[in-house]
Amino acid sequence: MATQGIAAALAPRGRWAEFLQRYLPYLLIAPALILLILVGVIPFAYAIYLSLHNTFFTDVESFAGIANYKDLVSDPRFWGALRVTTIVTVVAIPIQLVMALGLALLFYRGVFGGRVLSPLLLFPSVLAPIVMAIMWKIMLAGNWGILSYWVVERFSLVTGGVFGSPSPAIGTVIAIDIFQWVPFLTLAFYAGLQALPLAPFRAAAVDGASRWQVLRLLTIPMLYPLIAVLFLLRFIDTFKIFDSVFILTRGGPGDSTTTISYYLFRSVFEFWEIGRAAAAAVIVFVLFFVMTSIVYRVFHKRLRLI
Amino acid sequence: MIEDARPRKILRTLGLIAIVIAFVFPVYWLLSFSFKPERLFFDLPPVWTFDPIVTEWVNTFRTLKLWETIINSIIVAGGSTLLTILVGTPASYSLARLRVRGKTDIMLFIIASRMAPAVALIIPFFLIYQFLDLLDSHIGLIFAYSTFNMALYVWLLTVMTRELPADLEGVAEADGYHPFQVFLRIGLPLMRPSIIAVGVLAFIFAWNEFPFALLLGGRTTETLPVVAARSLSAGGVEWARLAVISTVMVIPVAVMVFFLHKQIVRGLSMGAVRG
Repeated sequence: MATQGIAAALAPRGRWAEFLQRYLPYLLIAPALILLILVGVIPFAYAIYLSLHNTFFTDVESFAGIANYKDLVSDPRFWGALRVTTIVTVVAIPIQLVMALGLALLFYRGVFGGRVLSPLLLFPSVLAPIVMAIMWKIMLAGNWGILSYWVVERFSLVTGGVFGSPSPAIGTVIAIDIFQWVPFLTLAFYAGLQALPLAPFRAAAVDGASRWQVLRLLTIPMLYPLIAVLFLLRFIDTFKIFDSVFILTRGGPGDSTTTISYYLFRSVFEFWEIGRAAAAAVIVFVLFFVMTSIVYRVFHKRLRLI
Repeated sequence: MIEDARPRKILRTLGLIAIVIAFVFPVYWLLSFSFKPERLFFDLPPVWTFDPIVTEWVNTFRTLKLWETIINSIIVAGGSTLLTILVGTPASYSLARLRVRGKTDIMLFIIASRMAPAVALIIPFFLIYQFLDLLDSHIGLIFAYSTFNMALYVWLLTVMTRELPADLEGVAEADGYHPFQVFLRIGLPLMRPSIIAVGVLAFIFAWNEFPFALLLGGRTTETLPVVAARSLSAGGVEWARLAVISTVMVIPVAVMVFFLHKQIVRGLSMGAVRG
């Protein structure tokens, strides 16, 4: 009863209480939405404005119409960056999802000490991408890095280091993304497997279904919502990959590892072509929303997100 | 699903251990470089055993004033987490528990705002901050970090709050409590564990953040990732120093993973997994 007294004392009264009662849901949401508009919508709108103007360093000069967009579309480096980003995304994500699902299935069949090992497994995935890149840089350095000595040189995989030529450099960026995310994805799939109902599996066992059939016809379809969510999340993050490129390759050799984020970075902070970079940013925004909503539509009903 | 013989289970456990070692080994290797005498770095084949020294730790803290960097990182990551919790918690409660028109649209707007590549946002941010004189300021970075943290936090906390039992709130409402009191006195305490879990995740993301800190920050706001990145530009790479800074960045994350790994798995999958 004491608490009720306090609560009563704190209770809003009169008109204010009525107003609060009526609009409370929106009043609670408002600050978050305002903040998101301030840091999301306004910068986006400003990027559109910038993309339609001529700029000189950070000064906005005359209206330029769609000149920046025209420049951009005829810039092979922009297309190259899109291509590199697409390659990284298209190669890295399926590989990491398949590897993680395989590992999760393996562990799901029973291991000792799974509890102790799972925090260890999560650990690499929450490391800063910067730290992950630095680790690999140390392991792949010169001829003395542990991986360059024991793997790259021993099997003469590449001459002149993995960052010396385009394909190995892209391959390494992809490998690092896979390496960072397989552990988390494995844990996510493992948790997903544990949450599946057992009855269908028992029924399948009674019917004498083979392991492969169970996997293809039961496990994977039942995991579909989870696969869709993880795919979407990984897609969003891999598409903006920047940190590891910055640390490891600086977009090189040539432009072979210049992802779209790195391209944007260079156009602003090296070439100071703000108008053109803003145009690229706008295109990337739009592209991103289109692709994400396509992915979203495809998985629509299956996404467990909302 | 299928019970399996013991020997196989042992084999699988060994496989799991091997994989865990493969994923964790690089962290050990990094750590070892921060204690390794520099002259052994380039030995062939790579050296495993050595007498650990702390010279580079002392040097890095002294010459780079690493404490100041650490404090910057704590201010920015902590401030961002605090801002996110203060602004995001009421929103999540409302979205999870109250009747809001256009709820799905709001949720979609929130998750959409997390999608944009940081570097694309940084272009307008840079000019706006230049105008507002917010470049190289802690508060500027803290605000900028909302671009990724606010969406993450509100989304996850909403999903997690929705799963909590609402009985108490119903009773309180029936007893004539004002909805605002219900939120403060019943909703908030109920949400506290989720707030901590999601808050920790927001902290980790802010702690690890690089592009905003690099491009909107400056001398007085340098965070650990920025200082690390700087140690490898120009005049050759300072490997030992890199290892020290990276290790410092790893420590708080390791502690948080140890205590909250299930919630973090859940968080990284935006709530799709129970962890």
